Amino acid sequence: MTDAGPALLEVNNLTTHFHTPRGPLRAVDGVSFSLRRGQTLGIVGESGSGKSALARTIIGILSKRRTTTTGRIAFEGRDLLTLSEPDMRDIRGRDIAMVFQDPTSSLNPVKRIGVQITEVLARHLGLRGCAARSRATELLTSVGLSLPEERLHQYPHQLSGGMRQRVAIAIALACDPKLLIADEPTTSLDVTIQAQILDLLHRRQKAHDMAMILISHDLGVVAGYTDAVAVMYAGQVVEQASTRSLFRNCRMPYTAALMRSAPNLSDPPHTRLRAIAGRPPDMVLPPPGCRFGPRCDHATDICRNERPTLSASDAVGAHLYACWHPVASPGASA
Amino acid sequence: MKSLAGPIIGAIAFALIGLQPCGAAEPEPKDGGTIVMATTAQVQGFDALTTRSANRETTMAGGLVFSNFFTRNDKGDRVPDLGTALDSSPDGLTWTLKLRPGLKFSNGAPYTAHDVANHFQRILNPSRNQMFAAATGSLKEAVAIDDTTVEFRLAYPWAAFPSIFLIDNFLIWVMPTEHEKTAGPDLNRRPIGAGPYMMTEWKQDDSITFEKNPNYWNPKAQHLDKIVIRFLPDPTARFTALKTGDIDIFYEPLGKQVVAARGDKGLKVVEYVGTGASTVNINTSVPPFDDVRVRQALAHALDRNIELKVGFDGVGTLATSFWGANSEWHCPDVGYPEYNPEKAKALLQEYGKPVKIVLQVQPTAIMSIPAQLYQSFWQKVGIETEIRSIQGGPSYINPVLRGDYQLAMWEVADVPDPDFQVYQAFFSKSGGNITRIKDPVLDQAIETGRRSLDVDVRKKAYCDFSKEMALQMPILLRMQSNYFAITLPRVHNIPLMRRGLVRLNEAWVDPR
Amino acid sequence: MMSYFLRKLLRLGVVLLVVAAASFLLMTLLPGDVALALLGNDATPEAVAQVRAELGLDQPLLLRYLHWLGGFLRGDLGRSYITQVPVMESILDRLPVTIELMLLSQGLALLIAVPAGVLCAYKAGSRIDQFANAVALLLLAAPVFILAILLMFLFALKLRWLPSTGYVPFMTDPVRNLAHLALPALAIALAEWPSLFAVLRADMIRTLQQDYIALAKAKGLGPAFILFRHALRPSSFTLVTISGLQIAATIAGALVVETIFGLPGIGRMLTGAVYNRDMMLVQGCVAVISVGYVLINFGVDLIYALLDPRVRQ
Repeated sequence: MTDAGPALLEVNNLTTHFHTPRGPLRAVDGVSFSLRRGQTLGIVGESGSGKSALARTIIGILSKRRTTTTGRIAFEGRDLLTLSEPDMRDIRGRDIAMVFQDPTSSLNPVKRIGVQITEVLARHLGLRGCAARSRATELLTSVGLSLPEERLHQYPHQLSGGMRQRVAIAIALACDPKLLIADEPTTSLDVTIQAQILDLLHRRQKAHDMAMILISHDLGVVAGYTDAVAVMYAGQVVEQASTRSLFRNCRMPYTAALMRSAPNLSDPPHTRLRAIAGRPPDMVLPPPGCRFGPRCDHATDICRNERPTLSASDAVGAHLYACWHPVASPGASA
Repeated sequence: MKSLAGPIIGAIAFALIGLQPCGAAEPEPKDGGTIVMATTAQVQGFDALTTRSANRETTMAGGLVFSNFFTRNDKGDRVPDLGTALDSSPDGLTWTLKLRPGLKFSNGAPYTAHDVANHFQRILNPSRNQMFAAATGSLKEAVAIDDTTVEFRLAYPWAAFPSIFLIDNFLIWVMPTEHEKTAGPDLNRRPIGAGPYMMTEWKQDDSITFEKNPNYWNPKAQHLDKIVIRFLPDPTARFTALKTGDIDIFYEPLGKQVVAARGDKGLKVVEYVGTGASTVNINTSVPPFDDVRVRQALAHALDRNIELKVGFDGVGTLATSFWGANSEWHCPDVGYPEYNPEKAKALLQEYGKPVKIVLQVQPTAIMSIPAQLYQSFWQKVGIETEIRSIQGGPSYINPVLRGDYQLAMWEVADVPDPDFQVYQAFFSKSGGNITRIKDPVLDQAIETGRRSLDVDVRKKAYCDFSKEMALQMPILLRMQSNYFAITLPRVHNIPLMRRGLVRLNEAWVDPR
Repeated sequence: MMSYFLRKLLRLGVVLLVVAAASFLLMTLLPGDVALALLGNDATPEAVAQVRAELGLDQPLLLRYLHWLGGFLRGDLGRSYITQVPVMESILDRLPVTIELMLLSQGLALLIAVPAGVLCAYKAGSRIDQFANAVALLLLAAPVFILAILLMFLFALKLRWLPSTGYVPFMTDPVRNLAHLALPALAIALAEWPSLFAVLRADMIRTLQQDYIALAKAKGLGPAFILFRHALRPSSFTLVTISGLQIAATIAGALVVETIFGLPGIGRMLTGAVYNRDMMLVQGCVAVISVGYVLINFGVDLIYALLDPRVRQ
């Protein structure tokens, strides 16, 4: 990881609580990381680990009445949490954009593709009419859609899943954002399409020197397209490192378990995935010690009673993990 | 005897009925302006053969367009209108009607005896006549003698016959012969008469507008420019519309509205106690009502003062016969059964079998609230009552006419001659004998009242009738026919509301 | 879109024919002899036979149906037995009143229900939402005649802003026409908006949880734009269905309001015709009302297609 100027995004001790009848649900619990222009951060974890909540907290689209957010999200030096809602609206879609998991549900089924693209152009760039339409055509072309003019008049249900996700990416890229948050952008797509979409995102990122947060439950996806990776479990970052370091030398038993459960391309077809035994903890009443403790093979009394902090494993301080009994990976011992 | 008949009949025909002292002296009438009257039901039309019956609203509308041959003023005196004289032959079988000379229809055509004769012949057409059999009585034919003289021939002497010409009555609505023949189905909606007003607009379900008839024989009596009759079926809405000035007058108010209006300086209450009464008919042909003790028990069990208070807000008079204190046919002591639940129980005990009855009512407050009262009074003496609610109209009337009922709330109309009230409904051989009562004493009284031409004999006959009714109890009497209207103070010259009719023919208004 | 429209149009034609046959048979097969109803129970058999012949009741059923259907298609529904007025004339007299009342009341109901439903869905659980729900529940429980009388008392009697009763045709005087219809329409609207509000609010809350609303937020769009341009249309299906049902019900069902405010509408005419045993008028009303129902359903189908492009296929 090389330093190249100041961080574009700096998240500090970010906490998001959902209000539930049972009490606050700690969806995001003390997350910190930073991201520079042109860099890609991967966030991995099982479903329910707080990845999406984190993404939505950063872009600020969670209901203010149903959630409480504390901490700091510095974007280009401004704390997004202290911005007024109108100011925040100016940032959303223009400086920070987002691609959702399922384009079938994230595109409005009753609005034409063209309108869904041009409304963001009108909102942030003041483009209307012909100018907006030609820009939309350009965008569709840039995400690799054929017959872009016709697409503008089509409805989402008239396109295939992969095409829809391209449209969603076109919408996200419409205003050349500085940060793109891609929340499981390929999960709902066919395997053959997944790589195309990831490649597309990667290409656009490079072309615009854009920072990206790529969220996935699949370490395999993250491996090829990110500079750094944060592993989340039960709302917390439990391991964070450069992509290379993490894959070579993972320390957290949960990360190790994720790696084991990831499908391997060398496996014969229909190989059963090695799922992680047990279930994630109750996020309203999490266990007092290590949250992964109840599912961890290495857990001892200390794991059950005391929470491990996220700390560096080496002198550089680039590989962080939270564990009382870190695994010694083959890479580390070598 | 026969030689005396003529003058006596004249006296009977225009007898004083419903005599009431006049109100305070009215100021000088003013000309111009409009009266809007709200009605509770719709006007059916103006052709007797089409409508086949006439409700109160129809009768009031027709009165404006056709007027009458004779009217009665508030003192009960006969006043000539389209007719000038009505005389009978000594045998009482031929009546001669003289028309006012020079009458014209509202369209300008002359109004002659030929139009009158043609109209009656049309009504008496045998293929239609059963509809009017009761109303036309023994009338056989009408013949025009000259332009202003019509002769009516009767099958047998009929004391009540002249009343036909005295009251607002759809049978006498004469239209031009030419119009009756050519208008076809539209006749009913396009009346042409010789009355003070002519119909200028009919908005079905909404309103009918009348304007001054320029050809009326007596322009001095025409004060209003316009009369609008508006159909407004909801009682609360009528009262509100009056208070907001949307309408000037409405009739048949609720009891509580009468009480409220009496305490309101911005409103005027017009009241008239007529003959006739609200009743409960008893079908005497079916058990247990074929036993007179059960019928008497029903009457003794009722505390009618409570009904007056609860059902009518204390507004009205309890009836003991059809003819109240105002009527010249009034009979003071008829012995109507008093409230005596012990006696009712004793009568039922004598009868010996359990009594379960069905009471037919209409779903209006004026019937259903008293019906529930009756139910609870009868419950107290051990009679179980089922209340059957049927909407007014043919579905209510037909079962009663067919004799397919036990008890039914009913109304005996306010009419100028008792014969109309008693002959059809209580004579044993009458087709319209709704209670199926067959009682020789009643028959004798009814027959005497119908055929005799002597007023005193008739009065005694109807007194006998009332007393026998109180013994036989084929009907329970409720309230004397009390008629109310509530008006704005600007409305003047509403005559006595005989038969509940608001007669606007000579009304006038203060300017708004 | 065209083929969807043609398919619906074809179905409309078939349904209309069935409806016409049903309304004819319904009245024909009802017990009770029209001739007897006209002449009274004492009528002689000859007179009854004569009236039956005059009315064409002595002909076979099928012939009478074809005759009636022919008339129906030409817009001739015969004459009322009671008033002798052509049935079509009576209906055309009342129809403008009913249609105007129907459109005004439903328009008002939507005018209250849509903003309220959208706002309460957006602020679900807030004070405003709780208050609006309480008001809606209260009005849902209040019978329409109570509302009508309260409105009349307040606006006609106390404030004197509007006339209490009556009707003026639009063409005669548009201002007075609207003044007369304001209270009746408001009374119906007050009784009808709660159900519209409730279904819209519920559907809208569901819509607001959809990803495409999250995406709209992520685009930086403002709440009003999102609610009305993104969320309202997909949340309107049940709303349109209920609205269609309410409009259809107003044709014959505004009876109470028509009665209280003295409006000469179809509902009151039909009720009067039933009580008077005016079979021709009842038959005509039933036919016209049924056609109205079918047309409104057709309209609702078309609106579905406008709301959601997926329906058109």
